[in-house]
Amino acid sequence: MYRATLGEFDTESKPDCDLACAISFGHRLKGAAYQVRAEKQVKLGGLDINLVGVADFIRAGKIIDIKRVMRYEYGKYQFSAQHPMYLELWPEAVRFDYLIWDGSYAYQETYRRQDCESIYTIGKRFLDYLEGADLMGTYTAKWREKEE
Amino acid sequence: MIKKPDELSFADKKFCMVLAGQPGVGKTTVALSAPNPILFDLDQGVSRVKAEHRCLTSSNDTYEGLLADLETPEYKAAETVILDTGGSLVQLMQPWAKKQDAKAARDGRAMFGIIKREFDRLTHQIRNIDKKNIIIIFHTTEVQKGDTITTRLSCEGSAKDIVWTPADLGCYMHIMGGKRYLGFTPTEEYFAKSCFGISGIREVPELAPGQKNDFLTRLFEEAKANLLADMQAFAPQKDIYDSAMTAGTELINQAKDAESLGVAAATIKAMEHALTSKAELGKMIGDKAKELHLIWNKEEGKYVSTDSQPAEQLGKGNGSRKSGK
Repeated sequence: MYRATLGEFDTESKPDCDLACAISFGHRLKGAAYQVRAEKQVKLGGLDINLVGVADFIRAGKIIDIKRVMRYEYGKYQFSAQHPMYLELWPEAVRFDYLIWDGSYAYQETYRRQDCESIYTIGKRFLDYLEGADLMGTYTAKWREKEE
Repeated sequence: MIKKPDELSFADKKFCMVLAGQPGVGKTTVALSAPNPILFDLDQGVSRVKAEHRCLTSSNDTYEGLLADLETPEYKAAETVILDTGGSLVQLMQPWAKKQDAKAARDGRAMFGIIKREFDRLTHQIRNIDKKNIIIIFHTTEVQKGDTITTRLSCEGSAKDIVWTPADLGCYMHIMGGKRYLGFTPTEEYFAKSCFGISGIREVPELAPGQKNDFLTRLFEEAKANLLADMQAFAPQKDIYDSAMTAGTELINQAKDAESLGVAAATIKAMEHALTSKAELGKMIGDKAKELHLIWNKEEGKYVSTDSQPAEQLGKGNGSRKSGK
């Protein structure tokens, strides 16, 4: 018997434990749309950037991403660019939840729009870094979108 | 029991809070300002709290003693449980954990595994079964991460990683310019957790002699009021979302061919949407199209069978990846 909540799972049997987590997450995600893709063209630092994201799950204003990690420490995703970008891609979403599984425990980190930097600020900082490191040419050459 | 959003009541909402900071900054006094508290003084620090702010205090040399105190009338009458500190609780649990399992007695990892589970169980009991506010105090330790020094909860083992998930609020208490503050919004220097409109930095008032120590009591009331206001603002959006999802799902389920799916898509597009209903129904339409072997033809502005589509055009619609990497 497993608790259908976040928390600890029976670690006596590893495969069953992973299955228990999957069942638990399944309860939480029942009815959600999964693998939802979105794109948005934005201007950033004079470049046309195509933001692309595939949300693991979306339901009722929540974007949910599943992470399987070997080791977890709370705040792991605090500075990730994923939730700021996804909240930009789905402006109608109100929060982003990471559901994290380390093999024996399930954790959750939640970020709301007001909790994180704008993806524009993060993107600008990245482009400034590329400029400073003289890598802008490499970036624009290697990451240019293929023409259809 | 499943309830609709408008049936939910948060009048009796209890809070779970992590309160972290350097020793001597005044964490225990702030924690004691929560409603009707009982202090589990695990690091013997209550003597440093001004006498007028002290409350019912449980002091134990063993974890078994702490568990026994959870059965007392004093505990049952309290509204808030303060665990001071989480790190000391883990230390108190160690001899107890070694008795629970022969492997734990000789293997530190097994022992901390038991402690992590028991820490989770204990806080779950206080919060969800005994229905009390819970405040877990932690000292902090500094960790160098690249060019930045960050503070982390000071606690052996990994019990510190499980306290954040159920916490409603988490803050770092610090002193700036001689004033004490609680930081509820995470920064590069410390981790925190804001919720229910309690965010940013809150100044902790200096207590004059005889002044009521009720800072967290008022903060919890503010959070409850924010929660209620948020619920009232969210309810109309949720109603629109539910209506759109119900009607849209039915239309998609009824679609049997290109024409009926096209009609469903157009109807859904024209619907009033809220939250992520448009994105969710859009994904369902895409999945239905795949199931019916249909693809959206941009030129014709309608769904067509994949069998009638030139091979080079297949894969250019939904889900195809365009970027170079």
